[in-house]
Amino acid sequence: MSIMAASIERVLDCQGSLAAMLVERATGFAHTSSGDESVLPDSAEAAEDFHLAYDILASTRTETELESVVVTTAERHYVTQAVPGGNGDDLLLVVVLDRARTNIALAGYQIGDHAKALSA
Amino acid sequence: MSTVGSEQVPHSLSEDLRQLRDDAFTGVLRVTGPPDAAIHFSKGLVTAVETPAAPGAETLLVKAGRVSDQAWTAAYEAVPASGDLAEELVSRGVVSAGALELVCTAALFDGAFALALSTSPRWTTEPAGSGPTLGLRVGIDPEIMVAESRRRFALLSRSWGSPGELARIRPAPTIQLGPGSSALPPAYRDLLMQANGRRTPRDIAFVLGRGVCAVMADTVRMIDRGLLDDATRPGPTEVSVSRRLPEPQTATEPVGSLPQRAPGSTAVRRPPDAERTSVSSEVLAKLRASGYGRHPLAGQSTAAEPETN
Repeated sequence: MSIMAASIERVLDCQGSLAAMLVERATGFAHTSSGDESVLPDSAEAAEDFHLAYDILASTRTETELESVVVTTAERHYVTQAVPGGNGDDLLLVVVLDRARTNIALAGYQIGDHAKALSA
Repeated sequence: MSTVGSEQVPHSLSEDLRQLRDDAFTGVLRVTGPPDAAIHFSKGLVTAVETPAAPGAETLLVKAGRVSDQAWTAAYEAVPASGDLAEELVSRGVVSAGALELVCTAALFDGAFALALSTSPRWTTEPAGSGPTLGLRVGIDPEIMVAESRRRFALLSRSWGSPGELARIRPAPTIQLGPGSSALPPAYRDLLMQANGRRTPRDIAFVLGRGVCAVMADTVRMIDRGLLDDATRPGPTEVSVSRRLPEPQTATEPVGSLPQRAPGSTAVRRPPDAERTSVSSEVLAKLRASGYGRHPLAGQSTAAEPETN
């Protein structure tokens, strides 16, 4: 197993986590993934959602840096977290969570920590 | 069919890559271009693609600021010719093993994509070829590499048109970075600062230490959002004294004539963009109104509305 695959595997320790993948923001290329891949969104579509969020922020004229996008359905949370501190091509950590087993505030905090560890 | 040591008549590079995987080939597949390239194999898996058509792992590390010039040079000089540069970088704490793996993976797939942008006529295999400067410990199945290159082509084709033509455009900013620019993603800001109407996406990728495909994809997004424009395309009323622009085609041009390269242009056909603008007019209007100053060199028309012709 590659080093990054092992790192992504650790994201599954988050309570309620079903699957995770590491995606290149600009190209939508999935570097690696772990867990139940059938529940993961298409990596390019996940990246495009992030770009849509850029547009929404730009239209609000908000001076801020986009950290994460959370899409919630009846059964799941889809969290797309920017991996911080990345120079060059930035990365996104996409995590799918079982809504019934997830405290989204806690999960968001844990996913943020995992994203920081990825960029270390 | 193993083709070790012989020069190939081109039929399909992807077929030969598959064959090398099946043969558990270890060595180098050298592509004679342009662009030239070295595809490094270990036990049938690709560990690195080195080509001047795309930034390698070294450029991605140093130019992007992940590793300082001094730290890179010190590690490079400390390693003997047959030594392991990756191990040296990691043991010195210059870069983590995980980050290095990410960069090597990104460089490999981007190199393969950049290589696929042009049709290379010949390739040879060298079983005892030298290893890459930096490569993956565990390689990638060549089939996965080829499939990813195809996916990237499809991605850019959907959003722009021919990736080959997109690779030749020379984007220029249509806005000036100002107080309101902090609402832009950092990657967009960096691209705005380096796009000067003379650099191609590949040039910008080398300057920023980013992938060629990534820069091309962001270039399309920024053109769609009215932040960049293709400087090789003539504006309807623009006149430049510093740069030769393509001359507009005249009605007297014979119908059915072969396409001709216009002065200043790097493409014979403009990319189709009539239907590709996916950003709503409302968002575009708000982007423009976000306090950005107009770029002094940009034409009025490019700032007001996205090109739709």
